[in-house]
Amino acid sequence: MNFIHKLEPIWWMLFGGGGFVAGFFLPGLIISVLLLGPSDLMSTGLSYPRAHALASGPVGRIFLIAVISLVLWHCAHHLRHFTLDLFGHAAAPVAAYGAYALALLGTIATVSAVLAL
Amino acid sequence: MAETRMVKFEVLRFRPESDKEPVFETYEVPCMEDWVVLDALNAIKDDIDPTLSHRWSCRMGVCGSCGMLVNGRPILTCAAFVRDYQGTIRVEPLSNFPIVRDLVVDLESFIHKIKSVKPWIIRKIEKDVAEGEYRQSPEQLEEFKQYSMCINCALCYAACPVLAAEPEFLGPAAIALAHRYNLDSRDEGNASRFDALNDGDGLWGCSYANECSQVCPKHVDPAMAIQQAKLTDALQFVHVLPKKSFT
Amino acid sequence: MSAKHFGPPKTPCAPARKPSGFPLGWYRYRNYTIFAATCIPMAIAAVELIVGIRALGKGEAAWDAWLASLATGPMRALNIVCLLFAIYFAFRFGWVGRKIAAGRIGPVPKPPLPMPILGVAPLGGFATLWLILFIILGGFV
Repeated sequence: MNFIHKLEPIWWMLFGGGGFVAGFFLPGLIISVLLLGPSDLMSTGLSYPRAHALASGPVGRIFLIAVISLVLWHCAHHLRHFTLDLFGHAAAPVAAYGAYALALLGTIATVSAVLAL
Repeated sequence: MAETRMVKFEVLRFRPESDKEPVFETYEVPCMEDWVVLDALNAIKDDIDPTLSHRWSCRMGVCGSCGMLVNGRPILTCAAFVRDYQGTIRVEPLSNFPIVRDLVVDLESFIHKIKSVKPWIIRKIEKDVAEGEYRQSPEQLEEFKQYSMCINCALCYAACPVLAAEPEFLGPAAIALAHRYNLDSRDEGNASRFDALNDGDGLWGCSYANECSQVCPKHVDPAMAIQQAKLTDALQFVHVLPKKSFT
Repeated sequence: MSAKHFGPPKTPCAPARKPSGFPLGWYRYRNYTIFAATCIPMAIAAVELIVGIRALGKGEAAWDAWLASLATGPMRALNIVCLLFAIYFAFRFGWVGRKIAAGRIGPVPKPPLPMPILGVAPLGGFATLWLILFIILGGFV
């Protein structure tokens, strides 16, 4: 746990940054893509050629990597504290290592998915 | 004879010499219109059950001694008016602290944590008295004045869900106090407090439940102090901000 | 002096009692618990987006198939739940965060980000950004 404790400000800054981007963008992304994506309303906006062009441009790549990774790190930190609140001191190492490992895996998955565009 | 009303109090009792675990006992107390819960507890001790143990002192909200759970909520019993409650009033000792006896809790951990953040002005070289006082403008005082209002009543510790899970968490009052000194223009001890604060069970254990600020009787707002301290600490950690220390 | 390792109580004590009403019994603790629980739906939404990006990288057929998979009943329901939690999160994050914006770093007042960004009224400001994102993604301009 020493390693985790030494880097506490880093986890917190990722949490804070992730919270900002999550608040700014996540509901918008959920509405536009996950809920309305299949609908006729978005059929021109999210057609394959346009979606691919948006996502694979430099702005799109940076946006996707930054937003999704930061959201995952935010969720990991929150999950860690939530687990501690529910299960107490004994769960501290599992909560911390587990949550941040998941966030790291998610970040790697995001970067690889974006680079494959 | 003033008007009184019979009010039922359910009070947690714990006598370590005879009780295996805490137990509730009920008392019927004739309460006057303007009584607070502390008055009722004193009436129980004076007239009904002299074995009841509870802490109190100033009975006007400045000493911080009489903090207890009234109907589950941490409050100073000298500020909890009986007329504001309906039905049976349940009085318990503060949560998150071991119970010594009846309504008295062991506050050693609280005091230890307060001391660990070095809550005093730290200077590299103390100014000689002949050189006069440390001068401070009203604006500089405003920076930290709110956080200096803490009366060490430990209600925030009773309300904090993180402390319930992790008793070694530094806690709202200690962190707010450390932040109060870090913001004080006379203080040069920011770096000395850094290690006590910058730990997983120090400052960073806080998950911003905000309960501490909700129950604070002096409106210190420790939650805001902690979040500000987190921001300051993080920026110092990555060397964007300097640590204010001996120059 | 370390904050940890204070000794055990000097006299025999009853164990500390938990705060009353945690996690779901008292409305403020309940709100906090829901706020903490938002991490799971938000992570699910993020993972869905990763799957979508992978589909986008694989080609048109995969992309259209992924979009179609979102149109099923269970996925719609899941995403609506994710959306509700994400909105609650955004509201509370902005609401509690407004106090940090008003705070200070050290003795000199210096907000960490320009005030127009931090001072944005929580839900209204966020909703504007969501609308802008919707307009950009939908190609409505």
